[in-house]
Amino acid sequence: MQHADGFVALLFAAIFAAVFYCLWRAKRGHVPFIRRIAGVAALDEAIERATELGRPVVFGMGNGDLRAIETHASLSVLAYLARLAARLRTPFTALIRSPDVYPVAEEVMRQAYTAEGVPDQFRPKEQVLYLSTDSVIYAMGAARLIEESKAGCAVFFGAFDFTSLLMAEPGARMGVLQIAGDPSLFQIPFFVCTCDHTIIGEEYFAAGAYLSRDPATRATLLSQDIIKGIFAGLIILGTLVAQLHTPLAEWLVKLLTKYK
Amino acid sequence: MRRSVVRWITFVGGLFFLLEFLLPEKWATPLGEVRNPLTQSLGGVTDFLIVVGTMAFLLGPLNLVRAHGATLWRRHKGWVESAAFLVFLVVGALAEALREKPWATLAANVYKVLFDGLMTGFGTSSMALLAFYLVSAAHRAFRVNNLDSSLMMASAAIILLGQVPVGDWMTCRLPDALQLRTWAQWILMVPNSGVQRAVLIGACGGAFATGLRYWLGIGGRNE
Repeated sequence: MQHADGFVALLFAAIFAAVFYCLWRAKRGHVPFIRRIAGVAALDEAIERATELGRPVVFGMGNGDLRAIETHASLSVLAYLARLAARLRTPFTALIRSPDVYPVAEEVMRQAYTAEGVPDQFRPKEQVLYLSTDSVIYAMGAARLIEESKAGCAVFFGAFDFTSLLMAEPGARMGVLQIAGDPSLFQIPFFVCTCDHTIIGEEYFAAGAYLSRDPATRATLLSQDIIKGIFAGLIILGTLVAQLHTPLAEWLVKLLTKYK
Repeated sequence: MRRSVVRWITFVGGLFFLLEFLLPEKWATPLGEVRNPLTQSLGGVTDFLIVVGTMAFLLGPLNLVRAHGATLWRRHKGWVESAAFLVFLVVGALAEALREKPWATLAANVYKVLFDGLMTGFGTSSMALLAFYLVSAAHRAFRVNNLDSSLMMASAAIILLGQVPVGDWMTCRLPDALQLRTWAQWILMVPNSGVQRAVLIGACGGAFATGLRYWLGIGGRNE
């Protein structure tokens, strides 16, 4: 098992300090301005459109298990959308690929319906569907459900693999409003081709906080920028120092290259 | 009460892994070398997590049985497919369990038909479908509507042509700097790599901040 050395521990301390600084500011009432993230802002519009059309909303979770942070970010968005759908009385189905995520997703949706005062409207057997751990079967199942239910909108939020196109293309052909979020880079081109909005990279992790009304949660978004700033600073420092060709510079470059 | 208990368990669990990572594996004291006690108990904790994960593993198939069983029982739309699913589930599970027994040649044959015959065929068909979808999606993506799509179209054309012999043939008489291969390599290695790294750094920062948020129990999923 790997252990942190002094430099990594220092980075951890800097990142922790950034998060705690943002929380401290939030407690004092300074909630940072958050730019509009088009894909995340379109989630409300997608559910409202499905409601107007009287069609269901399909939410596809990615292939991560409960240990993956992507899954937790996805569950946050699921909670928000399920709550919105419950408020608008719009049929909502969540598609699950990982068995250990299934009970958590069911509980998240139950809480969303309870929070909106309509726990009796939540039907777990029909609304939380485990399809398969196999990515091809999951994708084909999701595509079939979108087609057969004539979905008003489909949201794919999680880490997906090569089957993303299998899942999203039928909906694109039918003109279903589709929004996809994926933290990895490889499926983004396929989602860009097939979805109306695509949430990429840091936006994916920011979505949960962006949708939240809790000031402390929103404040942690600023820490994402500070963390990025720390890494950008290290890159610039490394680039500048690499030009100096002194023993100290060489040592610093060697150190930074080790963590590349 | 329930929520605070969950938050405390999450915090203590996260703290264990964080301290295990931050503390060195061993350090010297006047009384001798001390090993990190958290590292020593890491195996047990990981085993516990695997056991809990395995307990949850059955929930997915159980949900499938429950959902398809209800459809079949009430004769809802699609009950024939549900019946087929349940039959294949039972037959597949039995074939998998018995196929290595020396006396169960039928089970081995059924397994072969189900997995080598059906599953492989279905998988291959799905992948073939993917090829058609790729063409259809690429056609949609390459429509030039605005400046962004024009840039994407131009760079895609350069990269595609720069990596195939016909692209080399088209510009082989030009100086190196004007050849499509050079342009394609530049697009891939400079702007593309830069953007990819930027997105990855942003995503890593986001993952870190999100992880800390859940670990510290900041906000809730339904707040």
